[in-house]
Amino acid sequence: MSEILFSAAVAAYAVACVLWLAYLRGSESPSIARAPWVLVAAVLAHGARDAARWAIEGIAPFAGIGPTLSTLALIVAVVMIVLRRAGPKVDVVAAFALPVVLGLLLASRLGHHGETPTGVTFLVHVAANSVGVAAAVVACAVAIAYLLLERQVKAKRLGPLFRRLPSLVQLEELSSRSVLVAIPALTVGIITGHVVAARGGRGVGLPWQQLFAMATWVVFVLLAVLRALGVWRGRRAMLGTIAGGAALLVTLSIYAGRS
Amino acid sequence: MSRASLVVVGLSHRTAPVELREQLAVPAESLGACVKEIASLPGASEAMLVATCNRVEAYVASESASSTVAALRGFFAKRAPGAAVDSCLYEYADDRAVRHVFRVAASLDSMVVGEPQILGQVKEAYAAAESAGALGPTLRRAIPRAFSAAKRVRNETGIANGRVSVASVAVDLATQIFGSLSERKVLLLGAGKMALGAARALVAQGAKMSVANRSYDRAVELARSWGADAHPLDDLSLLLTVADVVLCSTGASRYVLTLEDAKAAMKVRRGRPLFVVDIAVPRNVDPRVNDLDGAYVYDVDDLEREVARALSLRGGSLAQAEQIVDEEIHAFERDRRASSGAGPTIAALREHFRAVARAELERSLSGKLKHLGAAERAALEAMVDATVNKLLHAPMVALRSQAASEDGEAMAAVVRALFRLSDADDRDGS
Repeated sequence: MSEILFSAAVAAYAVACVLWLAYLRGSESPSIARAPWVLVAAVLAHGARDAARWAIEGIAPFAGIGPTLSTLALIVAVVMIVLRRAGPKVDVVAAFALPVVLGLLLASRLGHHGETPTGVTFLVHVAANSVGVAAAVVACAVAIAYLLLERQVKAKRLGPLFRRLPSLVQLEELSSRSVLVAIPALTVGIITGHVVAARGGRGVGLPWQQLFAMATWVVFVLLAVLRALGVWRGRRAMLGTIAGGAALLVTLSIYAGRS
Repeated sequence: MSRASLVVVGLSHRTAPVELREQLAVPAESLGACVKEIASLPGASEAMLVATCNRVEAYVASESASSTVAALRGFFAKRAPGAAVDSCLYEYADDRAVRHVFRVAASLDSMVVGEPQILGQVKEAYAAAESAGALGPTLRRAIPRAFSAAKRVRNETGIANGRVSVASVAVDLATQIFGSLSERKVLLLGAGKMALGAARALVAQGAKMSVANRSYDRAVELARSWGADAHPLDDLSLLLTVADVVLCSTGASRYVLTLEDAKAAMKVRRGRPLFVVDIAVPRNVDPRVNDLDGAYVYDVDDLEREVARALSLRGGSLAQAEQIVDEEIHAFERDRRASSGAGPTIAALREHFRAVARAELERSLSGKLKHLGAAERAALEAMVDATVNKLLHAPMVALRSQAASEDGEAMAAVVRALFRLSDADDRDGS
């Protein structure tokens, strides 16, 4: 049962992603209108699979690396569904976030599962990091959309993307807000991570993982400050966001690789 | 059974020059009176008049197409005395008329194929005809189906994609950079015709206008007509720091907006995007401004290239749009055959059987059965009606199921001949 739901979720995420990418490439196929519903179906299958594992096998959402990656993927996918409320055309940004969701979900198969997490500090650590990662993934997906659109406008080659993405100003605002959500969440995540590790008498992950986690945090903080000062906006700010997202991806990869 | 023909007589940008179309233009306030006049022409039973700047067409349901066409030609000739109207008029009847109205509503017959206004204009004409009491079954069936076909064409093809004027491309670009243009600041430099058109389009989206001109008096004059602020051109450096969109169209033979001006402005703007539309020839804006972060410069060639691209994309969707119109016409004809072929025949058949049965029942009730009371009489009438309905059930089902096919009309004709059903029996013999 769990395997069937997992396969269904992977397939549905892939289909939703392909539909949105086809839309951005100019496809007029009526089936594209179903992309949001395919994503909802994927989230339902994914959520049902994780719930079933918890209920039947006792594997809680954050019990070990595998379940944590799966839960992260689920949170990002849910944010993608909610994002359509942020404005017209915003939901197409999912085309750039769903590959990350798929990657996290597939990587969750490699990670082992452990004991159900307990303790308030640890739960806060896990929750804060999840919010931070989800916000960072949204910020990066929006930044990719911005850069693609900006390149078309600058180069005066107005393709289908031009008409199907939100405006540059809207994308920049959305990315900026996502970074502002990610910063406090990652800050709390890093601090509580150290507290949990100190209590357990062990380090917080591998040194490289710590390094990249800090790099992500530093890049995002720097980005917010430079943006507020008006030094970095537009294209540069988006490149900075993607740099922060890349550092986060490396952190998650090292985390997944620990298994 | 007689059926009214759909007839179209009119002229358009394809057949008549603008001078003639102007003469035949119908103001909105007199549309209703014109429709009534057309509906009263010989043979006409229904009428609708589509009058836009590119076409004037009368759609009429007529029992006698030839006499109605002649009368419509006279109607148009009378409205433009002395002009050679007759040679510019086209006429279509029945299937060709249906195809024409479907293509017109879908904007396939427009000067700019895919333009969205025509559908609204045909809808207005339909509403005006409705208000004038000039609609009947023929137009009520055909015109709404033309609207559905037009909607499908817009939704399922790229025929309406892209902007097809320099002004609309400028608005499109500004919208894709800034999102809503409401409260965005537009700076108009110079007073070229195309720049004014683009400015008008931006203001229509809610943008706020400022005008700067080499001649301050001219700037004041323009600003007054726009309800905008006026500035001398010397204020350009300051104006560039606050404007979101700059429209340039001065007669200057050198750059009015230099790279240095733009660099200084972008520094103050702290990364806020600046969209510059340079519609002047020779150009007023140094093209290197486009290389600055957050600055986007489009000259007249860039805009016209986009217009040409949009037009060619629309051309690519044309075959698909024509196919949709064909499908819709086919469906319309099938439905029309079903309703006009089977419906009246079934009604006439039922009426015929019922009349025969009732006549026999009346004879009995006034003869041998005259002693029956009211309740018994009512029961007998109900029994006769039920018997008629049961006897007719199978043939009516057969007629209905065949109505939409090619053989439907032939079958209806056989039934009518067998039972000698006359036109007088028709309930809906349009």
